[in-house]
Amino acid sequence: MVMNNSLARDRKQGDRRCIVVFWMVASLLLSTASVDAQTYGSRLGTVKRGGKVSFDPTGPGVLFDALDPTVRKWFIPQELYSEYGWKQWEYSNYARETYQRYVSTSIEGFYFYDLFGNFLNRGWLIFDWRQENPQPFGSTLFKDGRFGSWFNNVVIASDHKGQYHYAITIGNQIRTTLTPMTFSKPRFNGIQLDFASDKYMGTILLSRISEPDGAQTSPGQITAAARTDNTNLVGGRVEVQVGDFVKVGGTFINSHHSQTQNDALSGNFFKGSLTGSQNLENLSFIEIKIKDDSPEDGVGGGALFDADILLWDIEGNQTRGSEIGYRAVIEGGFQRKGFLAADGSEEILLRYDLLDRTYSGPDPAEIERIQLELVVANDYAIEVSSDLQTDIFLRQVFVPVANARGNVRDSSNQRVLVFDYGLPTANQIAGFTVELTDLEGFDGYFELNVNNRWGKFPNPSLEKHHASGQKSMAWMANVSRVAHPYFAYGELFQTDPEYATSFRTVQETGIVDYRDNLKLYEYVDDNDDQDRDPDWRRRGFTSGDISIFPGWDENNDFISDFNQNDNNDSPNRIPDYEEPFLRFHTDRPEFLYGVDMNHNGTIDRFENDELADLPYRRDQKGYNLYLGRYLHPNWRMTLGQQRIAQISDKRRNLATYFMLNGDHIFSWGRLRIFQDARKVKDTIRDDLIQWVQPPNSRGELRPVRDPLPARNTLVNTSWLGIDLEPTSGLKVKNMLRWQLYHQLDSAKKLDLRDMSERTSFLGVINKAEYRISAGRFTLIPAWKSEFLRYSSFNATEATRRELSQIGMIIGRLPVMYTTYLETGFEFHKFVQMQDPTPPRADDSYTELTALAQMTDVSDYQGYRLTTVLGFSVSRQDFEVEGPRTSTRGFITVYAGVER
Amino acid sequence: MLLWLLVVEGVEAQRARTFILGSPSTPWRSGGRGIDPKVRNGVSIDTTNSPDNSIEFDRRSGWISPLFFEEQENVASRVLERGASITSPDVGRGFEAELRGTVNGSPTVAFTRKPTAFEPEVNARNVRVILDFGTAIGVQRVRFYPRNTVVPTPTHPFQNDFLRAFELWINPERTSLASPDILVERNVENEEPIVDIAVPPQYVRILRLKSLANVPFEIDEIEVYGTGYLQRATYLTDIIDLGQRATIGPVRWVEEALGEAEFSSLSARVRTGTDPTPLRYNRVERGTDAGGNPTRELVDIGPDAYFALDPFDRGPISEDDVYWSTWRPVANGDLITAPSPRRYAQFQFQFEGELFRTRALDQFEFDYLSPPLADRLVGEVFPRLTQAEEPATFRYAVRLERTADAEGNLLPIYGFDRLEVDTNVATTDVREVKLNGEEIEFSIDFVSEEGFGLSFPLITEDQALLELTFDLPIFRFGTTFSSRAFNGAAAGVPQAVVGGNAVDFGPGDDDALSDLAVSIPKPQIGKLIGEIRTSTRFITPNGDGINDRLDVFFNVLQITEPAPVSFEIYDLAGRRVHTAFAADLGIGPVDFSWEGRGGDGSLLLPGSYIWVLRVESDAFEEVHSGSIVIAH
Repeated sequence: MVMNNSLARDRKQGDRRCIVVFWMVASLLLSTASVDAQTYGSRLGTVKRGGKVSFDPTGPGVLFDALDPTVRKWFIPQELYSEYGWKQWEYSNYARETYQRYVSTSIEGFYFYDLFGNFLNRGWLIFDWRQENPQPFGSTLFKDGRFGSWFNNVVIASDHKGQYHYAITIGNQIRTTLTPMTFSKPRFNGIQLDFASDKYMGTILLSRISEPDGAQTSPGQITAAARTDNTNLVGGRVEVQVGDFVKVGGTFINSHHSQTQNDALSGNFFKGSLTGSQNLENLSFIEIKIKDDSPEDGVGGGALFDADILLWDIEGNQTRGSEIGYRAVIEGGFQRKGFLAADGSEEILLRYDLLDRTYSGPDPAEIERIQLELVVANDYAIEVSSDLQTDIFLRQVFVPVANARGNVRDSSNQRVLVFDYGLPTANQIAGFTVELTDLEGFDGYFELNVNNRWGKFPNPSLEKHHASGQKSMAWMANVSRVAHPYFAYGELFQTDPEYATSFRTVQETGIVDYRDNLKLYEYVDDNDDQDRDPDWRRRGFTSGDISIFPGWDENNDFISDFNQNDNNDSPNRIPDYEEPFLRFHTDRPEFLYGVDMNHNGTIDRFENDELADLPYRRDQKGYNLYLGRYLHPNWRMTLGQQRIAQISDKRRNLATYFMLNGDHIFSWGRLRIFQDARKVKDTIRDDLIQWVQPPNSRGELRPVRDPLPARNTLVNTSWLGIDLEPTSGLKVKNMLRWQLYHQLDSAKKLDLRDMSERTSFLGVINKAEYRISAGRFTLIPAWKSEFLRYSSFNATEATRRELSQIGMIIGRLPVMYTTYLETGFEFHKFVQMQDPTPPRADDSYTELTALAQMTDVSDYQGYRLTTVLGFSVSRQDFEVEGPRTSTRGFITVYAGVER
Repeated sequence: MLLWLLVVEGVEAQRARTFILGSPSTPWRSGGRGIDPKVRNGVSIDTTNSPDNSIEFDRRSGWISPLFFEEQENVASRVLERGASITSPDVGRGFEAELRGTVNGSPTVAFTRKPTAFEPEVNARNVRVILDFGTAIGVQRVRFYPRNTVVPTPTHPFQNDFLRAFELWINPERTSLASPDILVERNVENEEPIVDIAVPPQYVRILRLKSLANVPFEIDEIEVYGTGYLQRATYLTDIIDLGQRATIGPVRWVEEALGEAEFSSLSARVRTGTDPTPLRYNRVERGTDAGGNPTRELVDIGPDAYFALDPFDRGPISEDDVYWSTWRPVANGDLITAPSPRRYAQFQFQFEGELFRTRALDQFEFDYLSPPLADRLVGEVFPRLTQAEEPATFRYAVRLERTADAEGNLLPIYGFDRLEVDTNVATTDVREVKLNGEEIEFSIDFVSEEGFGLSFPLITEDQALLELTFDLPIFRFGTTFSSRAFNGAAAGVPQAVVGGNAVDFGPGDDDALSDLAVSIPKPQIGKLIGEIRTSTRFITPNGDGINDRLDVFFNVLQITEPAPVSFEIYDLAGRRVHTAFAADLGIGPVDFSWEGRGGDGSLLLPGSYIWVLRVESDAFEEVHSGSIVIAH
């Protein structure tokens, strides 16, 4: 019985196995059947012509069936003839087997092969960039429409094994950063190859930056994107982890003009080539302009003591202009004892005309190199141009060559300035970084970059052109340490004024326009709001960003937090801090606080400029050091000093500062303090373009000039916030901001600058809100008081003193399940405390706003509909103009997806 | 010989004459009673002394200054002048006449953004009217209104078509990041047909009025009320005809700063020419070259023939760079740097200032000699390269050149009998003064740090060569021994000597390099202190006459403005115990002595001390140091 049981169990198990096998076989057959149903016959490479064929490029074979010695014309059976068994000469009758239509062979794509002849796949060409030298139109870049429509303009190929990973990313908008001083773009259009392992990381960047989009046309029109002159970018970065605490990196970025008719391997690839338009004609003349680098002072401008020109012909013979009596024609400049001076707006123009009758040097067609030698001094700014250096309208364009350091007036910086003339062909940055992480308690970052800018001397009769270069440097070092309760931080930096993170690209027509900034390709974009769009209008993104409000979008919805209820469908043209009911919760931007290290009157984290987002501004060097101590985990004080100098001018930003800040929650409430006291001498201009929202507008960007409010000044900024909740439901918030600029310069100096001796801002906000619930009914009475008193830096502008009192009560009653009724009253009393009313300020007025609305939230066809209907009435009673009443009735439906 | 004597006698009979502008007899408005100035204005020519109508002639008798606007003066029509404009970039073409009508006082022509039968939908929102005055004008009030308001025009009863919402922006310059527009007024609920806005007095070049509402509107007039002086103004003299080629002496003028002088400036420029028109009136001559390719050449044909030409054959009017020099700056009291002697000259005065702080110019004058001292005085120095600081001997030559008329007769000149040569330090000797190789008698008039002067018999002969030799060291690259020649009969009208090839000084004197400038080897550039020599390394200030004091000698090099130089004594602990010498110095030798005493006059304690020689220049601080031992 036991045996029977076991047999029965075995049989059952055997039956189960059979069932399993059956289903497996069945499913296999089914799956085979389904595969068969999608076969493509010989079109994907199967048996044909009696032999095994493939789509590898092996050429035609021998068809043994064709060896019969018949005179009758042979027609090779192909495609559907073979597929459907048709014969070319056979009678076609579709009575039993109905006709099957032709199908296009290209529906499923094309066959593609690599350079070895390996069959890659059958499909579509998505992206193809190649450069072939030497030949005209050798640079082709093709992006199929499917690149955008199928892949949203980005494709990624990747692989990994163990700790080794790599990815090839091809995209139109890749967020790419190598280091902040070398390459950082929100919309890199090109190819990024990345490798990463546990200790090593590397990146290669490639892009044809003159036309990175290529031609998005059909493959047959691929030559539409073929170019002879183009500008390419090559870059990369390597990082190596050394031990546990140190990471070492190297960065390289190079952009250069490329001329595909040249041999790619002739000369230094990274120094670039002259484009066809740059090298179309012989140079006729060179002009050098010497200006005053600080024209506003009117003295000590560029001083020219001597000028000479050296010319090399193609045989290598050197000719010095002064030795053959060939001198520049000089215009402008004040004659001083021994030199010409370009003071103030005066300019000295030197012109070396190679077609002049007095010129007896080498024939312009045989000049290989020209070097200019100037003995200059004082505060010079030197620019150079030629007849070949123009914009598209053939107007001459001068480009800077050298600037004097500082603002020298006594010629003590006299020097022999030597530079070669060349048209720009390449820009390169190479550097390294060292990053320390908790090394003996220190964290640090050091970066040094060398910028080389190359140009080549044009001469169409030469195949190789003389290259000349200029070099500049930028470096930074940050070190910090926390040894509780102490902490310290130091930063040193220098960015040469000539440090270039941009390069002028070739236009589609092959012309290089030396004036048009839309043709500038930036390695480091201006993107102060850190969104996907660069702020400025440059090559690759010529539309620019028109909505920039750094720091004012803490919820990252791309809408200013000061006008949160604004959108394109329903524009709101009143800032929240002036809109009835909303203004209770939203305070004016003047009440924001923070650090202003560049002393331009705007808090640094809210600044928007039109400069590359380098960590430190170009043309500046200096340091900033601070030491601090935690007085409590939430309280700390800091003592620091900064010394920043503008390299090309005598301007400085010197400050010694003390800061105390804390945020602590006591049993009675929350206390926040920010105290910043500093002594400042700042003459460096930091102009901005700031987002403002004037009434009846959705906001716009406006240039804001740095008024240099702290040339020799004591600056105090205090901010105090106290939040209380004395009883449940009652919230009290108090805020005070006081800022004072006390000028230390003499009254005479201040008078000359129209500057007030004391400029202050005092703002006090007190508000209380109490939530009373009675069953389902909620009542919220609230009160807000806002006092402002501020004077302008400009002594001619009147002081403002204003007080706003806002009383508000809102009742809310839910009815049924998804409906609620709300009604509210707001009384606003604005008191103009200054008499007479200052220009452009409001007179006193009162304002009463009443609002009643019903809101329904319903689900409808997968959407959550929110329907609001209501009526509001507002009455303003101006002290001077009298009353004014406005009403608004509305019914609005919003379809939402959120729940 | 007789002819020569007659010529010389004739010349000597004449005296230096004075050209005066701004006097009652030659007021500024007259421009100098010369040939009207020619200023290109597109394809036409303006003949005004006040381009852009920017000069005030009447506010102060006998003076000129930038144009002044009274507060009741509407200056809006200035946008119709050259270099200015009124535009509305938001409405396309076809509105030019309407826009002009808003500033020309016409009560019937208005700029309208209202629907018509041809254009039933008109965008009235964000329409800008931009007034560009071309230069900054003081503005204190702006008023604008539709028709039938300020001026009754019952035939155009559009008094209600005023701007319902607007912004008024101004800018003292062209709009740029460095010069952002300033919002003067923003009114989104305007109910006043006549909008009158007080502007804080300031310069305005660009004035933008922007509509903010989509309500149709019109603007009959935009009135801009000025104030103060123009920020920039230019006065051009007539083309001054000196009768024949003439030497122009130092130019002089009287100027006055109105308000603080720091805020205003007045600069002058001059150009000289040999014909009466500084412009080229070009006719286009078309032809073909040998290869059959079309050619195009420009031929200067003069103004009368030019304006008689078919416009097709007219080429561009360009500045004459053949017979006229470029504009050269000139300072008050200085000789002009434009080529001289020439027959024609023209001066330009440029004013810059602020609303109520500017410059005014009274009388302008210069003396001139006609005929000149010489047609050309060519000077040359040799050697032109020498080691810095080392005593050097320079040979200097001035060659007199005269020109002849068509018949080959030499034109008359005055000749010269004095020469002043500029130097940077005092010369130690002037000798070997020769005329055409023969030593002549001479007298040295003066020797100073600035130069030296010498007198000799009158030189009038064509190609006469005056040579002299002087000694001095060179302390700066680019030392230029510029010079001026004088004639005793007209001592106030010197003629500048121009650098060039005057003579062959022998081996090493390359004609092509001949000039008045002397260089030092370029590697020597960059040092502010030359060799420092001290008399001893120890002093014994005991009055025995031996090593009682430290004598220090050095040269200050390169700088063009005085810089602080100090010689300080430090003890070995690094404490400064005395400043033995401190002064602001220019280039040249310096020597002084120190007797071992401290600041209070008492002898320092015996021991070793460090001396530090310091030059604090603008670019850097150059420091040298050494040791000195004091033993009693």
